[in-house]
Amino acid sequence: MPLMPKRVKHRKSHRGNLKGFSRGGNRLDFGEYGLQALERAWVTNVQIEACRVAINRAMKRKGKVWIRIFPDRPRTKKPLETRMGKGKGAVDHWVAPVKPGRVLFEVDGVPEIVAREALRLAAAKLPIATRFVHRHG
Amino acid sequence: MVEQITIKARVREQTGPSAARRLRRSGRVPAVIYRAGKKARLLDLDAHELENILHHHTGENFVMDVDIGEGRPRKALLKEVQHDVVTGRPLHVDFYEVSMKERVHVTVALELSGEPLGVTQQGGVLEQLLHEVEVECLPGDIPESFSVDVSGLKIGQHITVGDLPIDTDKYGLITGADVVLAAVAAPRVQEEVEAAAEEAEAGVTEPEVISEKKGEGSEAEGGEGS
Repeated sequence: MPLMPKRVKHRKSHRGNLKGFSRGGNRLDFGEYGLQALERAWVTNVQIEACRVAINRAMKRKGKVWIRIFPDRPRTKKPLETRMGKGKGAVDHWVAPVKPGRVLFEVDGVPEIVAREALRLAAAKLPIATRFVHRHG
Repeated sequence: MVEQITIKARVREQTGPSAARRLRRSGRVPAVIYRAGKKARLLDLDAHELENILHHHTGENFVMDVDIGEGRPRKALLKEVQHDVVTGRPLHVDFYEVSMKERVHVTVALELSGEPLGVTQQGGVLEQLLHEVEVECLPGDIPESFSVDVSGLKIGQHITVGDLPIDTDKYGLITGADVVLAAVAAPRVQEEVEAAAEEAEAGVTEPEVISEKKGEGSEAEGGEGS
């Protein structure tokens, strides 16, 4: 099942904005290698899950993976062929707001070549440009 | 110990974000030099020269000679370098003026060497839990990194900061000696991963709403009420 919060204060929220750059979570804190966002986007829970599966498969379940973003923002959608009005639509999916600089995933315990390939495959599942980052570089 | 590096700096008068932005656009990087009991001096450095220095060193902890054109260059520790989160370019540099006879607190990178037995023979995973240690030493003794041999570790074993092979006369550890810096964990089992996935499948499909009162719609079931 894709990621979503266990408890929320309110069922629906405003869209917010994605101005500026990532103020926190913009450096490697856990692993040796990581994937850093270069653009801004709402990354959905399904995209994060697809990345996680791609990384684990590429690493052949060795090493360790950290997911540094969490989809805690609900996104609503009105049903098809519905007239405007009659209140806000139902929650459709959950997103994580990502700003440039944010480290999305971190991996450790595998050689650099494996980490690069795993994160390349994960990057292909995302709607934004990313780059591979490592601790000693 | 790192070799001696000299960097030329200019004293700057203008302050604030606009002036800093103008400086950066002209190929300079704003900086500051300070020490306890002395007034801070505002400086600017050549961006290219600074990037070259940072590029050729793994850590950012070393003593430099900062030449501001006022007599002898000042010995200063590169205390902090702020980088742009996207481009990685230096935005601002803090220099901490030091005396070569007074001990300073610095963070030193840790490098693990060797393949643990638990990884090569038992199929475990080496986890590095700590990447830097804080030590107290003389500015002239600051190392680029500490190397730790982990080749003897088996699954379930770990190595702590206290096990670091460092000269205790030169370096005083600030980080707790019982802090684990590397451990070899058992490999992830296939069933474990599948069980976790199944558990997630069986879980609720909608989050619990805290603010809604009990019995106010099906989505708020189990809510605590406000």
